[in-house]
Amino acid sequence: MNQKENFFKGILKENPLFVSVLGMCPSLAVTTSLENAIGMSIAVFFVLVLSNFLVSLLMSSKKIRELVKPVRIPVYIVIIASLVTVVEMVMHAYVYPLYISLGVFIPLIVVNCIILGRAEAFASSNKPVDSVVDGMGMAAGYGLALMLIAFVREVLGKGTLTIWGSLQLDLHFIFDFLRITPLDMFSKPVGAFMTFGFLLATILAISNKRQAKLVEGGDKK
Amino acid sequence: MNKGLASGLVLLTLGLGCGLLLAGVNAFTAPTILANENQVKYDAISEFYDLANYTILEESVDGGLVDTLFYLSDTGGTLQAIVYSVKQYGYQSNVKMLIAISSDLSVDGYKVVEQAETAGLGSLSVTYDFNMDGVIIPDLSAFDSISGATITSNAVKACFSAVFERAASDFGGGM
Repeated sequence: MNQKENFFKGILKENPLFVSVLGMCPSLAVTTSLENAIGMSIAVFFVLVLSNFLVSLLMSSKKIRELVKPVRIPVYIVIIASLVTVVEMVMHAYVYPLYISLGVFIPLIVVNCIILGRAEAFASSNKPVDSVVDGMGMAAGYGLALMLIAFVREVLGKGTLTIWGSLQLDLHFIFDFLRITPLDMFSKPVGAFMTFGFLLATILAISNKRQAKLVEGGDKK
Repeated sequence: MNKGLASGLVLLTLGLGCGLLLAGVNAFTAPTILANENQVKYDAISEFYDLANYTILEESVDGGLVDTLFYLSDTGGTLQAIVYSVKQYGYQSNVKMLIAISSDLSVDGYKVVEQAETAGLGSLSVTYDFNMDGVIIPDLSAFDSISGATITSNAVKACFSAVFERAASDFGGGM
C-alpha cells in the first residue's frame, strides 16, 4: 500500500465513523454546531497523529517492543492521556468558548476507540511515517464525517452555520422562503441519531450501488 | 532483570516523561487559564452590576464551598453588595457559580460559570431560572430544581446555602 492509499483509506474505505462505526458517543454529542465539529476534529487530529507516531516510534525498537508488549495498553493510555491533557490545557487557555462548548468530551478523547484502535492495529506494527500518514487519514475521515453530521444538524436544527466564533451564516431566509421554522429536534440527541442513521444509509446505498456496478463490469469482461 | 519489572520500569519512565511534558505545557498555559477564569467572573459580575459605579475588592477564603468574595463598594466607600464565587461537586463535575447578595441581604443575581454536567440535563443549570432572584436570605423555600437533574440542582442549592450561611456576617451583621 502506498502512502496515498494509506491516507485515503481513512477517509473513504475505512472511515472510522461511517464504516467502522467507532467513536460514536462524542461524535453524536458534539455535532450540534459546525464549530464544535471543527474543534473536535482538530483535537482528534493532533492526538491521533501524535499518538500513532509515538507508539510506532516506541515499538520500532525490537528490545523496547519486547518490554512494552505485556504493558502495551497502559503505555498507549499514558501516551494518549498525556496528549489529550495537552490539548485540553491549550484549548482552555486559547480557545475558551470552544473548551466550554466541548466540555466533558475533550477528556473523553482518551477513551476514543479510534485512537486506541489505530495504536494497537496499525501504529504498533508499522513504521513511524506510515503511522503518521494513517493517523492523518483516519483523523481527516473522522473530521469530515463529524462536519457532515454537524452541517446537517445545525442547518436543520438552528437555521445557522457557525464556522468559527462570530463567523456565522444565518440561513433563516431559506426557512422563511419555505415558510417553515428550523426543527429544534435536530439539535437534540434524537436528531443526532436520525442524522447519523440517514447519512449512514445513504453512504451504504451509494457504496453498494458502486460495488454492484463493479461486479457487473467484472462479469461482462 | 525480571521481565515484568523491566516492563514496569518502561511504563514508569514513560509516565515521568509525560509528567514533565505536562508540567511544561502547564507552565505556559496556567497564567492564561487563570486570566480567562477571572475574565469570566468579571463578565458575570457585570451582568448583575454596572462595574463603572463600584470599586471591587477581591478576597480569597479557605475552607467551605465559598472560595472568593468580591466586595462591591460605591463611590462613597459604602459596601453595597458582595458577589460570592462558590462551588460544589454535582453529578460528574464541579458546579461553580457566582451569587450576588446586596446589602439588604437579598439575592441580586446568580450565574453558573463553570460545569461539565450531563449535556441536556445538568448542563441546563447554566441558563436555568432557579427562582432565587430577589429572595431574602436565608429563605431557600422558593428554590426550583431542574427536572431530571436532581444532583446538579442539589449542588446549586448547596452553593446558595453556603452563601446564605455567611452573608449576614460578611456584611458586618449577625443572624
